[in-house]
Amino acid sequence: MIQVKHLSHSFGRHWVLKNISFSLDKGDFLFLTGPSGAGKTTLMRVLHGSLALQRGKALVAGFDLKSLPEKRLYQLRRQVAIVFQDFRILPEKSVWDNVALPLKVRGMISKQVQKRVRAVLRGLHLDKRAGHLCREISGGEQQRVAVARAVVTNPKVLLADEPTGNLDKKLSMQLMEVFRQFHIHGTTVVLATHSEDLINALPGAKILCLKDGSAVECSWNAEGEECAY
Amino acid sequence: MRVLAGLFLQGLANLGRNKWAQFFTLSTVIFTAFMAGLFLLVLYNLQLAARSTQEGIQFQVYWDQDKPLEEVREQWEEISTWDISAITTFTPEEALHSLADSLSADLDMDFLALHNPLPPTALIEFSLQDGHGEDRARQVRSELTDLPGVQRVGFNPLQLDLARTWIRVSSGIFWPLIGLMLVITGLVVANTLKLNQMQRKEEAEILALVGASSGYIQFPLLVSGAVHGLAGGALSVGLLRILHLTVEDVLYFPPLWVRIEFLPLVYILAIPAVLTLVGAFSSFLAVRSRLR
Repeated sequence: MIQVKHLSHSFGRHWVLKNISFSLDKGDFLFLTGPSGAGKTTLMRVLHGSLALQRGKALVAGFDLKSLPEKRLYQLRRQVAIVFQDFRILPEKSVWDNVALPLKVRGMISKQVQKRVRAVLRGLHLDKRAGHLCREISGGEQQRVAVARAVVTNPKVLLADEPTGNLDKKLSMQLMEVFRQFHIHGTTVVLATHSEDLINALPGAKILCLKDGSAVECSWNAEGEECAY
Repeated sequence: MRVLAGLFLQGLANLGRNKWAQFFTLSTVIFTAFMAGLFLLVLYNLQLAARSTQEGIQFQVYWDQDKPLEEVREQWEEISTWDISAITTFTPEEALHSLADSLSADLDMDFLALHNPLPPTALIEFSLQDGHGEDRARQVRSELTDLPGVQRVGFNPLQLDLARTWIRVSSGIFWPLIGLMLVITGLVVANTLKLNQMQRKEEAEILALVGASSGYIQFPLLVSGAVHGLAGGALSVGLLRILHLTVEDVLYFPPLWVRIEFLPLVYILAIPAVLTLVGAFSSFLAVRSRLR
């Protein structure tokens, strides 16, 4: 589902990703971890097509990012959903409208949109907030709206960049359960996180550690509380 | 088709969002287009004046004061059957009123009515034929002079040279000026509308991120930009027409007798049409860089 070979990316002269390679099959779950500034967000954005692939090869959901023209990016994004660290939701629109947005741009009929949005909002405990404007709800709720918007289309690949950053432990675990359900049902999930709790919640998931843009081996301290890179 | 109609309606609905920004954008479009239209109106009328002076020539004919007015009227009737463009006649009374009007609104010249010193006059305009202008002018002047009771026929030989100069100036300066004005108007309107649409860049980015095609994102913007251009252009033409009705006869007094003409239909239609295209195009480009 995702094949990355020798991927490098720079902003000006600064290389933020250096020679990254990994491969994920359908239904795989990958934790992307590493300190701040390691290149996790950049890797996510490259895989989503938000940043152009500069060096190396990347095949995502059947799309070769090297040769994918800009005008066909939307086709990639209909298969690959993303949850951004800063949510990227529309504050002046309601929770419902934000979550329904990806379905509307696909031209889905209203009845189906209602059915799917309702189900996703219920799953993320946002059904009582459906009519509220996103600027009126809390940071944690906004984060869940961003997740709901990403999963509502049932994507082949789900990229999530620190999706639990604003949530308490209980809500984080609930959200992790949502990702796990998608993973079980065949969605390939890439989740960037610092949280060891999340990583421990899914034993058997793949882990890719990044440090200064390079893939490194992950190691854990004796207490198992902190990730050492 | 359903999606396209939906996007069209969304483009219209976008005009209702952020009302003050929309109002100021529309105002800028209207007044920029109005200034351009005004410039065009002035140039068009200068062009008309120059053309009519070049192609036409005027003779001012004065009759003897003691010539019976009935006979003069018969001669005016006869002259009007000649191959001329127009004849404007003045009885001594009309000439007196016209003179009084041109001097001052408060001036009372009724005391001259019984001993009016002004003769009957006529202003005769006719077109010069290709290549025979001077012969024709000479012939008409001769025919007028030969009419019984005609005292004098006034003719300004500098008129033709002046008109030719105007035409040279119009083709050498006026049209490049119109072109420059169009470019400036286009840039101002395009930039205004582009800036207005830029406030929607975040929404455009998010739509792109969730899988909207560029057409899906840009079509509503194109519609609202086109509507801005169309409405701004149409309203500016309306304002221009109101101004024209106000000043239409400002120069219609002796010796000018210039009636300001409104722009021809093709110009009237061109203003909103060009602005619609500019609006659509600039809005289409506004968020293009945000779609990745």
